[in-house]
Amino acid sequence: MKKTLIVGIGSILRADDGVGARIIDELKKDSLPKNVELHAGDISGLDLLKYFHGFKSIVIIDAANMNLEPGSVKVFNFSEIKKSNFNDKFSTHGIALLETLTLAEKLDLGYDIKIVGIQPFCTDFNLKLSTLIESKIPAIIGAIKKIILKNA
Amino acid sequence: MKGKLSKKELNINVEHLTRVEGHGNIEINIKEGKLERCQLSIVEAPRFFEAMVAGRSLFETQHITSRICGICSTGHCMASVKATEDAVGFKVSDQTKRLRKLLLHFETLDSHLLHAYFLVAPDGLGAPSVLPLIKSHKDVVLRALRMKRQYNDMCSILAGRHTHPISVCSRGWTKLPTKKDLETIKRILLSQVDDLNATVKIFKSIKLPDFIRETEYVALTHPDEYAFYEGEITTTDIDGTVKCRDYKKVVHEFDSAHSTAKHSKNKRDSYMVGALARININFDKLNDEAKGVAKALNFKVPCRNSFMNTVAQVIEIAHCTYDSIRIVNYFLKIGIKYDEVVTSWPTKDELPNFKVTPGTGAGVVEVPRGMLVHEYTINDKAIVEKANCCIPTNQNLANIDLDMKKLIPEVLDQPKEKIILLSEMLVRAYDPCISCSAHMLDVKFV
Repeated sequence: MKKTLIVGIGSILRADDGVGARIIDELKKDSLPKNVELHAGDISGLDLLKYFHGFKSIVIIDAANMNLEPGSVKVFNFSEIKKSNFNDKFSTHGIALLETLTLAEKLDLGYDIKIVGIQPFCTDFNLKLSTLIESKIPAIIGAIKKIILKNA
Repeated sequence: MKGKLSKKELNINVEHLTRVEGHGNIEINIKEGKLERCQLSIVEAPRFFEAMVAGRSLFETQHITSRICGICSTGHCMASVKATEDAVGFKVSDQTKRLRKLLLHFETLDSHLLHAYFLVAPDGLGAPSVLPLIKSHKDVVLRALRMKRQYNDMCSILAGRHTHPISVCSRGWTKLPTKKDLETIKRILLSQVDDLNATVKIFKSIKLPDFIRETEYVALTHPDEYAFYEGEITTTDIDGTVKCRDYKKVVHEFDSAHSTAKHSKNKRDSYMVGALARININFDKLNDEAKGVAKALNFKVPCRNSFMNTVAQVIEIAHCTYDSIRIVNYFLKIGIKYDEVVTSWPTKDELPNFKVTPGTGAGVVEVPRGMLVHEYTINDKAIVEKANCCIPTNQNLANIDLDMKKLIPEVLDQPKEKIILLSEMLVRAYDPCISCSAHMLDVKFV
């Protein structure tokens, strides 16, 4: 059984941007297999790598601009997206998710990284998710549970 | 010919300089053989943290101000609790101080490592970023990530999480480490000796540019130790020391037209803070291991080459590692006094008789990028009425500009790309944290 880390990323101060953290809160209410660990927060950048240590399968949940209809949920492998070339923006404050995952992939540390991207409807300052994204929560949780089952 | 430069025309405008923290532009302009403009412009928006603290309780300021920076959050937290304690007269125990010193070491280690490996090493190894290094120097990148993770882990054990410490508060600690925590920290520190030696080896192989400019260096100094957490302010241009509360006798802030962040000076037109300033002032207080690293890296004081700030950081990595081992061993020997645990706010039992003596106080600490000052005025209701924060990067900005003005004419015979790289490397050597430095600018409209 592969050890799975599920990480929810985003700022809960910015409405739908906080959907990753919100999903982790929801998953905490469920009984999940013992080999699954959850982590939520406003974490990105290099510090994220530290949490990967000791896991094989990593699921990142994040609001993502995928040019899809708001509320669309898409599960994809990191290998499916265009990588960062790092050269245009590299500060340790500014290492975003893309740079961190590129680094992890290039280092070839054997992580299987899946991303659950959610097209946000609203990322203004608001502590609540938009109604549209709120209504998608069961579907997002369903998608994540499928990944967990596959790894079991 | 005096005043004439070898290039008649040159225009360099590096927008959003990479591998520094935050947004800054390098602007160099030579017209008809005369250096017209040569400066680092700070274009980041001010963030008004001082205004956010005003009106809040002294018991929560450290949690607010630590958010100024995700890298120096512990440093801001320390300056904050020290300023509150100085303002209202809270005294803290020897144990509290020693543990704060330990936590501050972990942050210095984390920040220096990040700067040396991720932001500076690519220049020295001829790579545009850390990414190509994975192919040519995979072991180096893995080592850097391993060391960083370990520093983060030690911060988490001591402070509750690796950024924005939870257990540090005015009056002391809300949670004290167990014997097992201390043993884990000691095990991690001892396991780092090989990585530390390998780090010294790699920086021995990196050739930094030769460059010398006389300037004033400013840092905390302490009679018994290499000052990070406590001491008094001194500079290479003054005799004796200045009390932390009198920091304005040294830190003279002024506005600059090309920057949203304030600049500072003292006896000259600029001064430098940071690892190089600390080592120039306090070299004899470094531990023997750090002095050994200085020797191995051929580093001698006084060093007036700003590029060597990164080498000074590597020396401090050795100092902080071995000083941390010393502090942990001390507590493993004498034990932790758990009855010293405090609550972050006064308890219900304390409240009826809890009195706050109003006053103004300053907390000065050496954070990775240099001397950091927080100053608060607190009233008898424990509310902060006024706050001022002097950030190390601000204090270095005038010095960066003057370094550039000396460096550029010296390297003008080189190709434009090389001039750009050298000016970027110079700014990066200071490890500027521009996001933190942009603060509280008085905006005047014409």
